[in-house]
Amino acid sequence: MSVRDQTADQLVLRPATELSALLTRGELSPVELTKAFIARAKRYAHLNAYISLDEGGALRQAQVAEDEIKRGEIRGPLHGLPMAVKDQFDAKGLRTTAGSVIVDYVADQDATVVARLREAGAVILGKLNLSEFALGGNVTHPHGIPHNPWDVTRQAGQSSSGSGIAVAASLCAAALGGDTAGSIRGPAAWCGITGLRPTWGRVSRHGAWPMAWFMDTIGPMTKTVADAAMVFEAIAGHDPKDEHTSTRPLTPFEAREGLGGLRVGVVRESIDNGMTTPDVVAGVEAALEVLRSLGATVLDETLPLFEHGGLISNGLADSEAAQIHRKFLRERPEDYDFASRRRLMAASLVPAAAYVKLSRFRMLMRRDVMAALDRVDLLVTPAQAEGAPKIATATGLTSKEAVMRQFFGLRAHRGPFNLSGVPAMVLPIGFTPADVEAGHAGLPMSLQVIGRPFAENAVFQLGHAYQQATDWHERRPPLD
Amino acid sequence: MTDLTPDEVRTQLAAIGLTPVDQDDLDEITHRINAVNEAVLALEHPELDAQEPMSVFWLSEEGAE
Repeated sequence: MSVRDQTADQLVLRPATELSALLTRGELSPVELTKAFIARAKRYAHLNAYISLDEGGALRQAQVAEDEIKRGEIRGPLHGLPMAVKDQFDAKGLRTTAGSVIVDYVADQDATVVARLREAGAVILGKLNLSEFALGGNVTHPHGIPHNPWDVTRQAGQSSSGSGIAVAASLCAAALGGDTAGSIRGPAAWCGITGLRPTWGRVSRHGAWPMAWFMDTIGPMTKTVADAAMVFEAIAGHDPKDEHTSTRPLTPFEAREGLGGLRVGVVRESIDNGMTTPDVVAGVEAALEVLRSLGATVLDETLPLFEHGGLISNGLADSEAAQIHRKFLRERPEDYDFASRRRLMAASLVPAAAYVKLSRFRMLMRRDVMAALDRVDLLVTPAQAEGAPKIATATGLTSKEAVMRQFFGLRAHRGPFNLSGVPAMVLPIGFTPADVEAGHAGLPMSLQVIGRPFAENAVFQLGHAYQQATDWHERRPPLD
Repeated sequence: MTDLTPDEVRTQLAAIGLTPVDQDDLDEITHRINAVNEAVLALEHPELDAQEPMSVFWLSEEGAE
């Protein structure tokens, strides 16, 4: 069946760029598409992707978009596209909870990223679930346990869990997530979608609840790399309301054929470490073969401090988070998830000397990452050590050693890059083998692609070429 | 190095106005801070003393792409 013959109910499974083309040509009704996504979000509400679904508001926005498109007033590729945003970002007239019970208000203005989506004509379907205050690591979920659509007994990743679920399960056409220390890349990897952490300073954080100021970023979570580029271009750019956004002009992504001339460095410490499972290693090796077949030169690279990425990233980010939460921690400690509370209270005691030492190690990490990116155009690693784990009911942190095993060491594939402020994107590269005993038919595996500062287009190029040659991004979870 | 005891952790928390909700809280907080302290103390690098702990700001850099 051709795309043109499909109903809105069927089209919700297609990438946002395909929907965009139909919408802006007037071949698909924004109202019908919005209705289809709303119906699907309700049908699969048990996944707990949404905290707030704004049915009435979304349909009104869709009607406005439909009228504008009929008049030929096309705002751009997001016009009429039903999207959703992590409930870390304010959206005027909608409830913000930041995934907590401590914060609960109706926003009187849009976060800059939401305002930019609206200016581009996107329809905001609602606010998506997340880990409490975007911290990640919480065990209880006041707005419902986020369920991985590939296996509902498993985690959807943290902290942009609702965004990962909503895109993977086609409960919106595209979503926004936030990434401090992996919160876009983790859920995207475990849910089998594409997720971009932009260069720090490329996308405004105004109107977003902070997790850790020096690493917070906002980016697209989408079905494809082309979708991610389309959404990124709508939200990126200088914002006077966020003084740390870059004034550097944005160059639209234009896909080219193949990867000829591109040098790709594989961070060996992310693979040869005894922690990344053989299934994931095999998946990455297969992906590298695809990159070679597209003309890329694949080289080994090294980041000697890679194993310390988790410690440096968590140690610094948690220290900042503890300061952000100091008032709530004093006044309402019992209203936090117990794991969040313990984490933040412990981080409140990190000595200043330790924070400064970690900050200096951060500079060493950045120096190593930048040196590697001088030798090659892009770096790649697995996005995760293994497929999504089972939903946790306890922290399991019954000793100092257990804390070290869980948070530090070679399982932290994403830390070196959020520490360095560089763009990093994950995209699906296959599935782990089915495991009857574990109760799943295969869990998503992903590749992380890292670029130089502000080189999002180079990251997109590799990912887009890979997706032109493979069909992992076309797979959809069996929800029924 | 010596680990902090739960009582020491409770005292340090009280000094900054924080109170664990229960004993499980206190025990896990103790494990967490002892883990960070031990891991950070063990970090060594020959060029550490040459590093300034600056934030990463790309905004003044030119032509990174």
